[in-house]
Amino acid sequence: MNALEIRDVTCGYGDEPVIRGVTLEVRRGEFLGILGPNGSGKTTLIRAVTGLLEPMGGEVLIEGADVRRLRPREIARRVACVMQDTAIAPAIGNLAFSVREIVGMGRTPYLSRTGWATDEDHRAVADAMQLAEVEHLADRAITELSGGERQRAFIAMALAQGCDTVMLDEPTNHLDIAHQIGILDLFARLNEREGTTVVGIFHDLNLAAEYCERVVLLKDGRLAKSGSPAEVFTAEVIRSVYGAEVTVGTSPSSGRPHVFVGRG
Amino acid sequence: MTGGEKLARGIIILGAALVVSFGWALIAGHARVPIRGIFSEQYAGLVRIRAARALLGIIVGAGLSVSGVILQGVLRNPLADPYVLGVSSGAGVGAALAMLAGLAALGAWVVPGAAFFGAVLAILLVYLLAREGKAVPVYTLLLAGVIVNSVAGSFLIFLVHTTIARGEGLHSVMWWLLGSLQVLEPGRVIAAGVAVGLGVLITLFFTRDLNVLSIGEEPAAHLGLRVERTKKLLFVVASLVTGAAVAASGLIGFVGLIVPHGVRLVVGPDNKVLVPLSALAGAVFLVVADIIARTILPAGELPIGVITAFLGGPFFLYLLRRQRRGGVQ
Repeated sequence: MNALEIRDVTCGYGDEPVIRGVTLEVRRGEFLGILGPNGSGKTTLIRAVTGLLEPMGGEVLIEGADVRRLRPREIARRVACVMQDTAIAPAIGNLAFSVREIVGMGRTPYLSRTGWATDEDHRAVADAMQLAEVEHLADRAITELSGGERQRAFIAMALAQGCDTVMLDEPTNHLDIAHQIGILDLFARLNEREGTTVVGIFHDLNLAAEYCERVVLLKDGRLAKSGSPAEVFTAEVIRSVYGAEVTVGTSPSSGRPHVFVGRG
Repeated sequence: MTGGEKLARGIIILGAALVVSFGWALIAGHARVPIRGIFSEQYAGLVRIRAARALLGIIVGAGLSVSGVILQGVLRNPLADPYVLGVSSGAGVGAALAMLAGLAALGAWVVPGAAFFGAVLAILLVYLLAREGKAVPVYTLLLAGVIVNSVAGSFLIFLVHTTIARGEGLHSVMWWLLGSLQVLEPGRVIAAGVAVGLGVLITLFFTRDLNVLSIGEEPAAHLGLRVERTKKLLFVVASLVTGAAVAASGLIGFVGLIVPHGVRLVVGPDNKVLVPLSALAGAVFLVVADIIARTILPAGELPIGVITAFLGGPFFLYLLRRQRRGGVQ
């Protein structure tokens, strides 16, 4: 059974479709990159998978189950999302939630309306904080953290959901290169050791080439190209999808394709 | 200290404070009742009046505080409050219209019901005016609240003057604008008690949702929350509670702002602890504010809204400054 099956999905806002007839299968344990120009429908695709948007046509299956038949809580136990910049409610001074409390929110899909967290929840939170390396920040207010630390806290929250599939919506945007690598290494480890399926939206072609087994390119809401980074990242494909002139070489360390920008 | 321990400790402390302030409310006043006189025949009439008044204070204080917690949580705005956002004024217009139309005689629930509809309309209006795309910016919301508040407030004064000119004014302008816990219709106190009790109970089931909403609507949806449904339900609860409070006691301001933030300073932002403790603290706060209002002048009494605004206004400015300095928006 595939982790995700997206079958001929058309989806958008109001009557206006943003993605049209996208079909995509994500194998269990795969590390998949979704790329494409701004407005090509990458985030809309994530929202269709997690049930935030109802498709106008087609269907989405998560581990074989139709998203329309799953309750939001059930979806949240199967797929976790890390957003590019999670907003925090404006707090007065430092009266914001602590990192531990934010990570604890990842257990929401398992908790009843009135009950307190159980030992199992506490363990899941502790494990998630260890994986995301935010244990030392556990008691700090979320509003006091730097951008990179904050993103790690939200990653820990998503890990605490205990899902087999994690979707990333440009989680390393706005972060410096050390944080970018650190965070993607974390998901690569999770993918290798736990077999977690990772589906990530990338802006940076080279980061995608380095970390993804397979990449798909979206253009104008349609699937333009799918394959290994070496198959997809060629000068012709980049020109036809992005309309940009690049040369493609090879990374000396990993042997994966590397896109070089040429001046126009 | 875990959330459960904080909650248990808070309930004990505030519960004790509530008992003490209730007792104090029975004996304090221009005509003093000795402590031993509380249960004697001699003072029975006076004690009964003061007890009803303190009971209304408990209901209104708890209701307005919880309404403040809900609005702050759902709008993700620490400066939200039913009075500041014009929800109380909207409820006042609803209540006054029902009284003007002579509907009050139909039953104790009619005026609170009309106040509820006024409150719902005001919340919707403020929310739709302030919303920019998916976000509700802090200052736009306050501005929309100020405008709805002043328009609804003016309309309310117009309605009240109309009834007074006809010689059938149920309440004075002063009662409407600054509130009073004086019990004029016992039925309305009972209606308020039922509405606030129900509202607080429902809110207790949604404390986790309020917590999760603080990280934003989309991340909350990714955690399995039905965001739109939850927001609508909580807006309805806040309107119900505010409407019932306003129908029974007029416009008492800033309670929903001072009390939840005061409680937050001690226990932190967790709504599982914040909601029940704000209800209790609000009850204590309004009972004490009413005692001050009744006793501060050598004779007669001050409208209770004067006391709450006198404390709440400066507190609001203090929060606004801390908000700016924190740089979080």
